[in-house]
Amino acid sequence: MIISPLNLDPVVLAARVAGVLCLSRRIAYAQLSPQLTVVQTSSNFAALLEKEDTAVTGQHISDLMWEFVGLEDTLQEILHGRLPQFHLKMVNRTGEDGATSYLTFLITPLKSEKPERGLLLLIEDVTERGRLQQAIIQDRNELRLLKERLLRVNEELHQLDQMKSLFMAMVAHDIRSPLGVISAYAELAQEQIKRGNTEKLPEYFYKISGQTNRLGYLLSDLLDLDAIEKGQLTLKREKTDLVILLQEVVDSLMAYFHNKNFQFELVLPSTPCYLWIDRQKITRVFYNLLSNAHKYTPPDGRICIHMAQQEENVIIQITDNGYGMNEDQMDRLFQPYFRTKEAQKSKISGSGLGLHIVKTFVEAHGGSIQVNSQLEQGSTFTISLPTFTHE
Amino acid sequence: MSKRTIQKKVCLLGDFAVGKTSLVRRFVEGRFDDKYLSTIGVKISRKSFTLEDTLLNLLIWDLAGGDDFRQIGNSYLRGASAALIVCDLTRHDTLDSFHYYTAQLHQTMPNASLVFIGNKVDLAEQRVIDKNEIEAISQELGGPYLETSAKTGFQVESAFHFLANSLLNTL
Repeated sequence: MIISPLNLDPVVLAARVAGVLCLSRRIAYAQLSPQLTVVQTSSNFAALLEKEDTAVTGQHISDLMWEFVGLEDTLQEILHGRLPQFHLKMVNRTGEDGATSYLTFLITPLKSEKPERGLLLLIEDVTERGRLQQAIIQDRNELRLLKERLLRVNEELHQLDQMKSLFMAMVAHDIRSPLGVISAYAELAQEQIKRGNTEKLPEYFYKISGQTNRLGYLLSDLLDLDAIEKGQLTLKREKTDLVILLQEVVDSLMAYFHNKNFQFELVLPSTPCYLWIDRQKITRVFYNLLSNAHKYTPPDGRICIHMAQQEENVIIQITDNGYGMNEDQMDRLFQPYFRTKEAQKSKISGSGLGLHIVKTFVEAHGGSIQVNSQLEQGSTFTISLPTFTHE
Repeated sequence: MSKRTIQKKVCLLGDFAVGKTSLVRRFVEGRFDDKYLSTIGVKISRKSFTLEDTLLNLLIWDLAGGDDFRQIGNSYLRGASAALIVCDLTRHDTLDSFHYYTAQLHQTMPNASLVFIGNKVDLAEQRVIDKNEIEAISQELGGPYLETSAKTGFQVESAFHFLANSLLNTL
């Protein structure tokens, strides 16, 4: 509800408002005809809108000010007495200097008892108040965003904590299980030696050796993870022929693959591929990927390893026709401690660290790793490593 | 044959910091600024472009989001022919507000066209809103859905052109 001066005769009102405006350039007015054209304005009206003085009178309000495009019906409602006023607070305007000013627009009838005679537009420059309000809202919104982020991080930490607990349980199981096997075969071996029967000793020692290796790899994973999390991962690079390195890893695992009667395909370049790499870490990359292919492919499956040089990179693809993964599982595959639900339910051992370590090692060498997989169809891991560059 | 010229008011609605101002800046000025600056009240920009035989002057009302929109009220929506309702794909609660903004717009302008936008699609790793979920809500609220990135410019033009086409179709 607008009080007082708006009930005055427009001429009297204009004179009074103009008097006030002489004292302040922060308020301006315009009188609008029933056709919504500008009839007269205060002397500072054009300046406040950063327009030429001569370009104002006679113009339709929506041609003069963007703010009123589409509002013709609303203004007609005021002229017909159906709406008492229309108020737009804090309209942002950017000046030629790029600074934002804030204006407030109020449109009311010239005479409240005869609204059809025309409208009065009052404009107030509220830039000081606007800037203060903007600063307060900016701080408040930034705090809200920060709070949202903290809640998210807290939730992630909670999940990580749960995963770590799960991981500790898995590690305990993964250590206890080979220790149990080692202990059992060691006792059996002692019994057999006491009886002077050495026939089965090679088999027992082979099993003890296998379980010892399993423990060794688990410990390596744990030490690597610790180094990664502390940001202490260092590479001892040396010039290495990747063809020979991969062949060595495959040879060391061949007996392991034959146990499950896999079809095995290995395609290597006929010429050396020299890279400047940390031999031990890239060996672990190959070992972890091939070990996964072995674990997650059922007996009589097929594993293919292809290595090729493409321009500045060496591409290694390891493909299996094993259990495969869905898209959600692929998205999370390289996260530490992640294991698919199927893997957790199955009796396949694993810490959920192997692929996280693979990705970290590959990227530390300036390379990349990608995975393509389909449930029940198998998976392909593609590694790209830059070729020989001496640091 | 001379082109017809029409002017239309369109609004951008959505919670604070979903990227409304950045979408307008990308569309009108072709640039992106990483710094977040809260809008208070409304900032009006104009963009003219030709669609078929029509020169369309879009008056784009970039409105304050969230609680600040609730305070300024529906008067800002008067005269709007269409609206982009925007959420931030990395903040799920910004999708929950789609119903509120749609209701506010339709209360003031029942025939206004709507396009729903999931912004910040470039932040794929932080994304928390599933595409199927947002598509289902958009369908329920009666508007098409597009994913955009004000940062990269991905589908920003398309979003406004989609809106412009829906305006022309209602003429």
